[in-house]
Amino acid sequence: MPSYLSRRGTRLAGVRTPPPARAPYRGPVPAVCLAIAAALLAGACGGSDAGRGPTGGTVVVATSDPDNLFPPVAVSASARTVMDQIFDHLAEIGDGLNSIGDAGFKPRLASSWTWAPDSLSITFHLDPRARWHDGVPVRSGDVVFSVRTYLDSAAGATNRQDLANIDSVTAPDSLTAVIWYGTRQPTQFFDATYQIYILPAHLLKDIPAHELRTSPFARAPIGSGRFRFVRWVPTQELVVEADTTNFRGRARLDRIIFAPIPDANAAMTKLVAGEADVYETLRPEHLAQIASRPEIGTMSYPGADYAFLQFNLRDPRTPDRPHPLFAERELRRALTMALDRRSLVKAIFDSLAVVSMGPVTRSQFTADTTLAQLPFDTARANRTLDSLGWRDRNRDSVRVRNGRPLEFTLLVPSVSRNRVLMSVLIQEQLRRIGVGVRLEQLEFTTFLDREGKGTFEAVLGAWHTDPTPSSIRQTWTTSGLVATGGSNYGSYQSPVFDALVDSAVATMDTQRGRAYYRRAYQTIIDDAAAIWLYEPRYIGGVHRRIRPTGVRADAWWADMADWTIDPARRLPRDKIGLRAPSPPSTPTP
Amino acid sequence: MWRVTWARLRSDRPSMVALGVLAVIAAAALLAPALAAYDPNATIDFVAMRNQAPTVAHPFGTDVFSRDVLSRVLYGARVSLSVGVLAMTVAITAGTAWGACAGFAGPRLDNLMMRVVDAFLSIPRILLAIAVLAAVERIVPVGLVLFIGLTGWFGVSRIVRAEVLAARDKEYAVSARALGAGRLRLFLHHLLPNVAAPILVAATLGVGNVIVLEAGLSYLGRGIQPPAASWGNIIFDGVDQLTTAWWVPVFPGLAIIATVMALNALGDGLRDALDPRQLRAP
Amino acid sequence: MGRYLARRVRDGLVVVFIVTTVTFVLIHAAPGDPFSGQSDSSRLSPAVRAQWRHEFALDRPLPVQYARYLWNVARGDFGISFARNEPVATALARALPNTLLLMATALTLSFAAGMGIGVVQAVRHGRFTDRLLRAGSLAFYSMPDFWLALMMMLLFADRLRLLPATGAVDVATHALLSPAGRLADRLLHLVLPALTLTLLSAAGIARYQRSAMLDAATEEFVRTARAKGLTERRIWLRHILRNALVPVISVFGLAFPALLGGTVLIERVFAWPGMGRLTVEAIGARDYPVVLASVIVGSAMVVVGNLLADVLHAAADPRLRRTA
Repeated sequence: MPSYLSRRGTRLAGVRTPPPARAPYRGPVPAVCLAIAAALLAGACGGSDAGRGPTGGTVVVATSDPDNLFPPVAVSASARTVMDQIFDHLAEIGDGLNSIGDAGFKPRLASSWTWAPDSLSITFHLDPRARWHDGVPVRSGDVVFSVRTYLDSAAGATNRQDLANIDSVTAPDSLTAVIWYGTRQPTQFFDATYQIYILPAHLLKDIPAHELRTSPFARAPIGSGRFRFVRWVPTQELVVEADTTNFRGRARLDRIIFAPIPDANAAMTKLVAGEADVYETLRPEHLAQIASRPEIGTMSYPGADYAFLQFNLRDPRTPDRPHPLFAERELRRALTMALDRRSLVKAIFDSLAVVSMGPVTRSQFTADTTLAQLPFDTARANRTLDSLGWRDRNRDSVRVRNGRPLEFTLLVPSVSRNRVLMSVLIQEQLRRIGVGVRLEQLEFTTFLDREGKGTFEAVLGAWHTDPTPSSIRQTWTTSGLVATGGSNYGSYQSPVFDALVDSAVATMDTQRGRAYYRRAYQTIIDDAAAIWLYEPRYIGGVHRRIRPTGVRADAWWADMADWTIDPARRLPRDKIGLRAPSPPSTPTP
Repeated sequence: MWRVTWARLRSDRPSMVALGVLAVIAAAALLAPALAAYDPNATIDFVAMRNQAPTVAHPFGTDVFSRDVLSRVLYGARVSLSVGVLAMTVAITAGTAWGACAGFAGPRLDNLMMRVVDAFLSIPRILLAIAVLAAVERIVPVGLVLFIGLTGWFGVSRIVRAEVLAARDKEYAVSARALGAGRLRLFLHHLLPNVAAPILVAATLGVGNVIVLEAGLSYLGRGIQPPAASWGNIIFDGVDQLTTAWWVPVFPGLAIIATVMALNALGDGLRDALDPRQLRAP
Repeated sequence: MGRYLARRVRDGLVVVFIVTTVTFVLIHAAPGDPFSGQSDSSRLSPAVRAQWRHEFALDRPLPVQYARYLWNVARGDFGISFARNEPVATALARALPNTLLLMATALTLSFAAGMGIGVVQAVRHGRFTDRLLRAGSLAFYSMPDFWLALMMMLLFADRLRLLPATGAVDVATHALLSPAGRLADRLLHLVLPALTLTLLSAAGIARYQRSAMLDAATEEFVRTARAKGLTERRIWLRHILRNALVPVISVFGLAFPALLGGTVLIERVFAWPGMGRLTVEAIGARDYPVVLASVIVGSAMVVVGNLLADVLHAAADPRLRRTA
């Protein structure tokens, strides 16, 4: 049994994956490599039989309904889970999630690529065997169409701004596509691959761009991935089945059923009852239940989110003035030291999260666990507050300075159970050093509204990171201030931090980039722009007859086409086989 | 009239039991600081003491934050009961005013005003409350009381209007008007005492409804905001752990049922006591 | 009768219009942007949001949007859901049958059970059976609906593992079942939500039935019947029950909106894919077209329910029938 199927799945050391030192592949990817990568990710290496394993079987994934299946505009995580089965990128990011240059990237629709000497264009050579699920071959015209659609404002692609560096796309011949860039940047390969799904031009080109998101295609897509779309009955099921003639080989599973089960307890019940096979995010209280069930294993992946208590450094009423409390660096540091983050995280997540180290997650290649953190030290926090003039006349009440009580309002999105729990505990811990916290639970839309307008004192925020660490430019630097269209809601501004991030983002060298990022992280940690709270580590429940492979940090589902089901333990639903219209040939890669 | 009513009520055993139950619950709410063994908002030990099953030290167990559920239920009684009573007061006031205006108004205005009431009555109250509460960013207790009150007066206004319509042509009203009494005076002095009885019954039943409604809103995260405890949000705090820590949602739920049952029984008793026509069976 | 109906329909339309307007104002007054994203991993940048707002005409003045909306609805076009990117009518067409199924089941069962219990109570009034049933129905009548739902789920789905906890069908296996299996699957999933709703509303109906019977029992004809020497049993079942039916039928009109309200939280607890869940989710997501459409449909249902109750009332009451 592979070690990532640890029964409790809670004892994973070394969450961060070392970037695999491998040459890029040419041609189809042997699935065994994915399995090795998966084993690497799990921090251990074990004999895996993926790649030689049996085909067949039905996996039921407990998830939520996607908003849309048209890749440029779909926003929900559940949509990505499905789209990654149906669609392909030109190349797939490596398991180390490196985003600089093309190191670690694996061929997908492009079997190879070449950089122009000036690095201002990349030429992608398409795999001639690639076909859409309707049988039409994938050609460079599809690449041109896809890139243009992503760049077309009328299509409303969610990540259009991230693609601003792409200047144009051309197709010298039917199997060659060239993407041209405005400037030389470390992430330009990442932009063209990770950010863009290749869409079938022959089915979409006659639809006006602004109607694509509501077109029938968005609800019944045709792609080139190893699974093809079968049907979607919202609130009931979304089914994909193995594309038996796929150029990268038939998916080992026959079928994945995505079952929209919105509530964690219900999903858990289904999992325990054997009605669902995969539930991606177990809650701490489910761990014991899972452990007592021999038929359910776990898969663990670090995830890509970090959560924090963000201070607004500006006065929410008059934004051109500093915040009366939080503009003071020492106060922010004192509040950080007053929180026993380790216990908080333990209490709420058990083993399902670790203390966040800064504006970075452990799945990113710039993660660095040696960053110096502010300690949990209430005595020091108390001394600092005393020295700043915040006095607590009668113990056990709120400190006061010049008639102003040391109190603030903390906004919490009610939809996030974890943050709601966290907020109550924070309130309680800060009360002990004489700091009053008023909690305000908001609907998510309202929460985002207040955050975006800067009308808050402090928020329990969270960011979902993509593999590029450069996104902190949008979220924490001066150039990310809300006034300039960014997402630095707390208005933290530090010239040192800004300069370090700028250097880090621009460098083409992985080592130097890492060093710059490290110094930038240390700066913002020392400045306590936020209290870095936690980074969830996800543990999914998986039925034991299933052998997952390639559980990638940002996408556990990335290699579902290579998951297998133990033939000896098949359930009735595993034996249905394919009722697909396509010929039952099973080419092996 | 009230003395007769009281005498009748006293002979109705369910009503007396209900009054007793309500007295106990109200006393528990008032004496919560003395009765509760723990600070209702204090986490006892949020690493070791979370979701503890009921024991002697914690008869109702502890919740996900390691807070003592019994203490929270006791303090929650204060919040839930006051929200119930206050919101109902708001509803009665608004409903009486609207109903009286409609009753005195001409047929056209009356018709329009009653269509508005119909409209609101045709939206399920919980949906209306959700929509209204979505429009406010910050839910403060006063606001919640006002919102629940202002979405709960439609039934009362119907009762009052019907009574006004029925009563305004009666002899005493006609004679009072003949003596030059204004409409407001007529209403306050002559009609209000007559509508008081059905309003009292409606209010007693209504307080129970409000407590249930607040619980429902809390279940959606739109009720009384933490850390303050209300019976509704204690249940809400426990919903996620329903299968592993059943005691968190069960006990406040039982408190709600006891209270609302008592209110309903009392309301029934009051109705019977106030309306001799409905005296039970031969 | 025709004129009466016409007037009632007109009044009903006015009600629906008022409801629509109030909802439109409320939901647009709610802070937050339909396109702000529903989780941290799906946040959109301001530029994309602006583009999408423009695409859905949300950048127009509110009165203009309202006029456009009314015009579209008048033509039968409920628009496109912001959150689901599909026509609102499609989403409604999927959710409405589920809610109707749930409500129809609960309505039928609760009237049958409630009236039965009420009759038993009235016949045995004052005795132990009556007092027991009275306390029981009072308890269910006083229960928060979602709490009962949670308890039912805890007991029957979690502890006893007799019934499925959530959903309208077993999403995992439904499509793979035989037609008979699918029907059984549906029925099995219907049990808990329908039973919860039934318990809640049957309790109210039983209370009403009991007092209607006891009221009828005081009337003149009962004394006459007794004087004629009819058996007690015959008196209760033939004379009193028939007369007590009229007020109970009029309760139908009241039970309808109550039941619709009940489905809101029940559907949430049991993840039942109906109108209530659709609406609550849409309010949270600020999916304006879905909120408005479901409120229109809901209030129309209530109006029709009331009308139906009145017609039934007229049909059941011999005095009204003669004058009509």
